[in-house]
Amino acid sequence: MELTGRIETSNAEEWKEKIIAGIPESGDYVLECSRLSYISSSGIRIIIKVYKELKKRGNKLIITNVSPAVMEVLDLTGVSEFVTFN
Amino acid sequence: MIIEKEFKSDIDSLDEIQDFISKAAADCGIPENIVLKLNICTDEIVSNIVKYSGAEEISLKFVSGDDGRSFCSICYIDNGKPFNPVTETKELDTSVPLEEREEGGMGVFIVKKMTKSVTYKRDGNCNIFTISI
Repeated sequence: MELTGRIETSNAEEWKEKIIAGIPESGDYVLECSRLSYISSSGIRIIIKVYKELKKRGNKLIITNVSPAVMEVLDLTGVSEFVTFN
Repeated sequence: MIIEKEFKSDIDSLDEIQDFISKAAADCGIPENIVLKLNICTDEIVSNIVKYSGAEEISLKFVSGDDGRSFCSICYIDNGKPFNPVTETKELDTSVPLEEREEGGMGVFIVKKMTKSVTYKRDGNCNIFTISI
């Protein structure tokens, strides 16, 4: 799944549906973020929700090509300690 | 430079508010990495006002200048019920595993961490929340 633009309050519901619908039936889930410019807490909540789903079934959430602005939010919220980067 | 604008306290105003911030910041020559932080903080603050304050209007006052150290501040003024985000929000324990996290509480925490300072005051029937970056 490729994340693009901004994930913020005004479009978080739309992104939530897309990201959850993209969870594979088995295996790890990769979120490609090279074109994601920023993410606010509404997007972080989606990441946490998806992480929990995958963790329950023994799979990983893998985040790739994160920009410094997105990484800062993942670091500040402690999410970067738990997800896998590639 | 001081730029002010009023908006309806409505989730549909968020895009318009973000455009206002981005344009004001660009006009003041603020670097892109700081503009992104201002956008993130604005999303957190305005969405809280819209969802929880019951405000009808939000005014933004954007101030930028150079007092020997470049600075930028934004005041978010709403006519909703009193709420002090500086004292009435909990610190987020980022060491708690994600599967044990509760929803909520991250927005103001992100704002506090991304800014140099945050202040709150109640003036008449208005909340005035100011960030400096």
